[in-house]
Amino acid sequence: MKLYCLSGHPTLPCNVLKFKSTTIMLDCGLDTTSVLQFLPLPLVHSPRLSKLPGWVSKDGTINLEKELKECAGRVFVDSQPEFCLPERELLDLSTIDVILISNYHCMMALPYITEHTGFTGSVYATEPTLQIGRLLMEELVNFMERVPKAQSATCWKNKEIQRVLPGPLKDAVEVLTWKTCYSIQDVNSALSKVQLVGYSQKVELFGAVQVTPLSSGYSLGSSNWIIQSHYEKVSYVSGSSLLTTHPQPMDQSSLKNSDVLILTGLTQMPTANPDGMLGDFCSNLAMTIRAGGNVLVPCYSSGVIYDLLECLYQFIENANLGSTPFYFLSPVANSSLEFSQIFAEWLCHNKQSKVYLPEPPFPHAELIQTNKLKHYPSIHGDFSTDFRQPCVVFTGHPSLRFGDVVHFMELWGKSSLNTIIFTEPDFSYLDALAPYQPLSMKCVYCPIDTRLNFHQVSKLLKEVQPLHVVCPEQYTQPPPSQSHRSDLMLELQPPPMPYRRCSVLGLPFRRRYERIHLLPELAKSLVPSEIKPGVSLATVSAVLQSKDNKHTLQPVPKPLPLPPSKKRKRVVEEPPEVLAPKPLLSGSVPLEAFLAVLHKHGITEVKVEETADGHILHLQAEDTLIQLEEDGTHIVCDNNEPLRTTLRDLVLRFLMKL
Amino acid sequence: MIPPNCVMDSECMLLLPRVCAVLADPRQSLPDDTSLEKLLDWLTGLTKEDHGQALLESCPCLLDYISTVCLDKTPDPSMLSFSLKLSGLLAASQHGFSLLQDRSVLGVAYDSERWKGAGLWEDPSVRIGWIHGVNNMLQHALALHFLEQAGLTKPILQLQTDPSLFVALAANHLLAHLLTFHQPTTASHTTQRNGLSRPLSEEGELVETTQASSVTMEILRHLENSLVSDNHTQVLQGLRLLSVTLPQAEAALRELLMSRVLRPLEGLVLAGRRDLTQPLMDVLLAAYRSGPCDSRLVFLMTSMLNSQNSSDAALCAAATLPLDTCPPDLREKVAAVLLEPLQAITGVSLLDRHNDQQTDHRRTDQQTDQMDSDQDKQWDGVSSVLLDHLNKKSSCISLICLCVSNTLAVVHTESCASVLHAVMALLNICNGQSSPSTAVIGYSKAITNLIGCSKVQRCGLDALASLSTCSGAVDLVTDVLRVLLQYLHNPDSDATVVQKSYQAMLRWLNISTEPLYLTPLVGQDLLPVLKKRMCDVRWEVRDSTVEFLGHLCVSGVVSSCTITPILLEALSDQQSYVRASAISALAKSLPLSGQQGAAQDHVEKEAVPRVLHILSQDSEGFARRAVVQFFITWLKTHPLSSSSSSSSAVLRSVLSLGSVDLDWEVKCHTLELVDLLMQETLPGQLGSEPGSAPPPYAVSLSYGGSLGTNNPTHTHSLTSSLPPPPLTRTPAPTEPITAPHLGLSGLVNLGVITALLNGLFDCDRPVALKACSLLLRLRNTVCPRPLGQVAVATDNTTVSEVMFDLSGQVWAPEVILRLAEKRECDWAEDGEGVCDRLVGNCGSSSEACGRWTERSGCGGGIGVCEVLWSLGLEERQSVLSRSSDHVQNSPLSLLQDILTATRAADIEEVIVDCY
Repeated sequence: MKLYCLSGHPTLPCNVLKFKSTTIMLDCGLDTTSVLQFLPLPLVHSPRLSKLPGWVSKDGTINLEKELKECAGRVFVDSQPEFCLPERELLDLSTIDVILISNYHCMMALPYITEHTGFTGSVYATEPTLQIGRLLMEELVNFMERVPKAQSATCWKNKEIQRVLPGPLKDAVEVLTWKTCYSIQDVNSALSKVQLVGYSQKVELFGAVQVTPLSSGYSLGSSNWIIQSHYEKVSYVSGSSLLTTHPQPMDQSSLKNSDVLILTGLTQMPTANPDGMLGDFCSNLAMTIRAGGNVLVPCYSSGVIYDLLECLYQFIENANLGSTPFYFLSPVANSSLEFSQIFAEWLCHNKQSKVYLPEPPFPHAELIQTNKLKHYPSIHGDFSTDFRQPCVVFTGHPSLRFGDVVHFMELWGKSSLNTIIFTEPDFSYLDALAPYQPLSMKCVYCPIDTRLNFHQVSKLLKEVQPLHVVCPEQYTQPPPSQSHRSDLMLELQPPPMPYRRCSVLGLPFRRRYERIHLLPELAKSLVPSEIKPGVSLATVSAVLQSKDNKHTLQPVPKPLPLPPSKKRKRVVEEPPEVLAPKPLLSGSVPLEAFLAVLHKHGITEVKVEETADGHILHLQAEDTLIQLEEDGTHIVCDNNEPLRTTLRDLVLRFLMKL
Repeated sequence: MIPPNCVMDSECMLLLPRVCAVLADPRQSLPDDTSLEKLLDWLTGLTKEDHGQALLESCPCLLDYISTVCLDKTPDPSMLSFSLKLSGLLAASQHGFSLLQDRSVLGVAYDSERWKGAGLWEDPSVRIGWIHGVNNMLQHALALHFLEQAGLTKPILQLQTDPSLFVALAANHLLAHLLTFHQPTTASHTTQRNGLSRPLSEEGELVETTQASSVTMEILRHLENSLVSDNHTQVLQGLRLLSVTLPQAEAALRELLMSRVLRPLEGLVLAGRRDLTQPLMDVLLAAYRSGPCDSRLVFLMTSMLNSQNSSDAALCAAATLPLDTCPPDLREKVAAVLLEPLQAITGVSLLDRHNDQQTDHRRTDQQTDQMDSDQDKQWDGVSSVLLDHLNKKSSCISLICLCVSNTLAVVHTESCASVLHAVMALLNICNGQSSPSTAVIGYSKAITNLIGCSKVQRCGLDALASLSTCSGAVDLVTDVLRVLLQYLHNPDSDATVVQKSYQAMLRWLNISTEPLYLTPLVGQDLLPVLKKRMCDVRWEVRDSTVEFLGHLCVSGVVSSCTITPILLEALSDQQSYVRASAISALAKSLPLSGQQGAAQDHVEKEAVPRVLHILSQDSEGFARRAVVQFFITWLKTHPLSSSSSSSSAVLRSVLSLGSVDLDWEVKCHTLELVDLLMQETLPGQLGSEPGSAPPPYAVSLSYGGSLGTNNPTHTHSLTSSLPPPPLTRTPAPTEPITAPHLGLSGLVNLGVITALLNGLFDCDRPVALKACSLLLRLRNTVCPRPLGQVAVATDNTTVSEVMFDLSGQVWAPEVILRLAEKRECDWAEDGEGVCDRLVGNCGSSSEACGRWTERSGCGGGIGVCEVLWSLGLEERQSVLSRSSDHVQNSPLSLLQDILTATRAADIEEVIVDCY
């Protein structure tokens, strides 16, 4: 069993598991942090961005004025933003049988995998994962296609040139594999390959393994996967949460007794407690509004935003913010808010029970009804007429490189009354803000990541007790910025097996057993004999048939009756001679007793030599060797058949026959 | 609980024999046992003065009752228990004892074998009654002889390990009482307080020949055996007896005790039994406190500190700390035990290791070989034990908390700075902020236990606050404030941690000699985080922030004009506690605004209308109480005399709203405000209440017309609904008030009289009582006695002419009725002419009643003084000062209850018979 690791990002994993003749891809996360190297895509013409100076190397030998622009001491690529794809050279993607998706954040690279690679397999995901994943992909495509860039920068990727570029562009990895966004056709085609599954539904793959999604508690429809055969069980834990948020709680008990547990998607903010961050978010928001400023919240259009809105729903009354408008801008804002209300079966118990009242499970419905929360597909259209300040705006993309958020950064960045509050943990806020410097608006970093933290993981692992744990190497040491925090790493016995991008891990267990079915007629013919109390054996002669990874023992087909022959009639009538199988021997030869027996038979000069596997007896007078081993005895004697037979019989005395 | 009353009234005296008869009658069903408890409490109160001698003489029925119950072979257990306690109570006097002995009751009652035989001894209430009885009785020598003769010591010693915890405890106390009641003394032939004369040998040693000392010796033998016993309970009880006895023991007894128990104690200490750590330490400390310093005792205490278990050692060290006189060696050891875990965790050097080992070594030289091995612990060994301890989360947290809480008591002034550094490092660790350089190798697991632990954080912050008094603390102010700011910034800080951070910060801000040098830190770092915390989701955090802001105003580190807007914002907080705190904080900023002219205007213009609005509209009592307190502070810092006319209007609103509030505390606070106003308006004339300082206010008082035009509109609308001041004589605004009648009419104008009468007729007793005493003071000081009596004030005619308007008040009919009764009474005494003169143009009393209730007023209103004299204030005060349940709680009621209960049972039985 092997694991191929195609992504180095611990929370956006892409791994391939070869297990029992199947090739299973676990998630296909798209690392979007590469877009931070690019200039933002403004929705309306930005004089500031267009006037940025081009980059020329200090000695003037390299001139990339057209491709690279300088802003506040940093260099950015002026081109359509590109993403860092999962590794595609490590193995042939067309050999992948299935792709298992754990949540909608971990499927954004799907079109790159399923399209134009010869992929012919299927993709398994839950319904909310598919629907919300589709929304996020459509939103991404929309953001990109709305602001097309005429040129595409490639020169800077030249290894020789990249080497002399200023950091962090110089240190960007795998730049040649970076790709621009896929098209909506790719999205549709990729998603058409998705087959829907429900929690705890068992899916057979070629009869060899069974895969089952389990609730992981992180987002709507998010799942962990169990991949098991009759004798092996692999658990894939990705993006799970034990906190009480909107999704169904995590199913922990089904993860028990795994041989291997692949652990990815832990919190990216182990030191930021989501509750504290939520409180900080609310107080900073209230403080800004009270001072007459606006609040900008760059966020994804699904996920944490539901919890933020729920928290604000309770908070705005308490903080006298009832009259402040909240805007949610996204091409898919409406669908996201509505979808969340209809996935009742995927919600936590508390919210499920509301559906039967009937009440909308999320309170944002009430915010919309009372006009406190308004949503628009973009800044164009109705929004511009309804827009009132001071206000709170939720919009994407959290990287601040594309989407409506770029417009608000240009609009509000100059006033220190306004505040931008980062809640998504995926991007470094300093890097995100870099192309907007100098900036007057206040910045607050309240990353809310509800995924498992190290404390919760170690409790979880103590409970489910997997034999081996495989995890990204980042989890096996404290974060580089806090090297003293030994509590921010996985400490396990045996230590976890770390992986990084392009690792190929041989997982530490071998297939030892297979389940084989006996056909009833064959079973009937068996004659077990008891060799010790409670253990009976029988010899089986049969034909093994393997089909679709299922093994069956069938009775030996009777030999075809010989064509009747007149001459040998008598012979034919006799039952055909069936060779009785040779008896099977079991037991061991005790050395002392055996020597005594030899002595009795007149063999006295025996030299005993101890070996790794047993003993060698040298019968010096007879010039014969007897090798006694655990699973075999050899008698080496030249041209003395009577002696050999005698010795054989002496050995057989000590063994049991079946 | 029945109030103690030493004299029995005649009614009770009549009832008691019947009650005794009922109780002694085995056919009667028993009243519930709380009645018996109450009865005993009452009788105990009666016997307090003379050990019940008088009680026995006046109520011989008690003796009859006791002998009936005790001579009965199968009394009810609870009744027997009561009788035993009562007999002990009565036998406390020698006279009572003899009376009971004459009837040979005591011998029977305290024969435990007899009760065992009757199967009653198994009931714990009987055993405890028996113990209490003996304990009560044991006040004189006769009782002691009785105890000795009847052989009661043995059962007492057995009861010491009784399965019932209460019985065992009581037995232990009785034993301690026995030991200390009859103490040996070192002087020859001294008469003890119990009246026993004791012969002593020439060396001053106790002669064990007297009966009394044989009891003592028996107990001592038992104690000695207990301490070496295998039975855990027995050892424990022995130790408890020792720790109860030692503090009361005089020198001779202490010496005797110590000579007997020191060796067994050594055995127990060296055995290192964890379950005995606490009681052993109690004994050692009690022994140490009760007498001269003994090297063996110090050695035992040091051994306790060397316990393998760090938590136990730290507990012992913490217990040793409060000792005033502690040998330096012991003190050093205590410091080492308490500081070592802190040093291990933080890496800050707190102990001089070399010194420590030397001291240990010196000590071992003095001691026996057996103890050497225990003493001679290697540093590394101790550290590994400590490390094990710190690696476990629960023990780590409790140990560190214990150590940190006691740091201040152990540090010498010179090592103060290092302890401060250690505490700061600890707080950084708890916050997840410690840098790798300070983390100590090997302790990373222990450090993990502490990260985010709010319990340790709280302890650390408390310690940090108290360390602000250390010498050299001034140099570290900025560092400490940085640590505290991090706690305030951290969104994960628990609300209680935030509160402790504020408390610590206040202490540190106040020690700074140059507040100016902190200004940048406060302005750039502190204020923004305070503003953020004011928007916190948790109300507890907002509340403590508001409190902190109030204190900050007082400390003067920040100017109040920076803080007042934040506080004004907090007045509209959703949570009433926060609103109340904001009001209190604003009140704190008032004295400052007095010094800053412009700021005072600001507060008046902004805050006063808003808090008045809260008083009239807020649904929560806390906020409204705070408003009245606010005005009390306001009045103290801004005397009426020096403030504008609008102030009077504001106060009038406060009084009219506060005196009719729904919350009784608001009303009480309003009356405090009234008290202040009275003192200010009538300076030097009112006798101030005991304990209160004389009013420091000016003498003159200015009166405005209606409401100040400066006030915002909503205050205006609020107060303009009040009745216009019905002044008969309005003094000129600048006229200084010295005469009582001017003062009184000033009070009328402010609505003080109305507020007081609102209070007097209030249904809440504390309010009515307070109002009543204030009215009494006012009347006695200002108002002339009614006709024919000696007037107090000089110009009584003018004072009596001060009128007030009672129209629209709910209590108006009652006042008028009282007034009418008073007038009728006066008329009867003095004749019609006088009455005419008083009533004036209001007609006769009966007519007046009707008219006043119908119409809004009677000419110029009603005379204040006349009303005050008509209300019968003294009588009201005496009624009000009795608690509302005084009737139910009286002994008479109790006796009647017992009788009724038994009678009711009788009636029920009769009914049952009929069927």
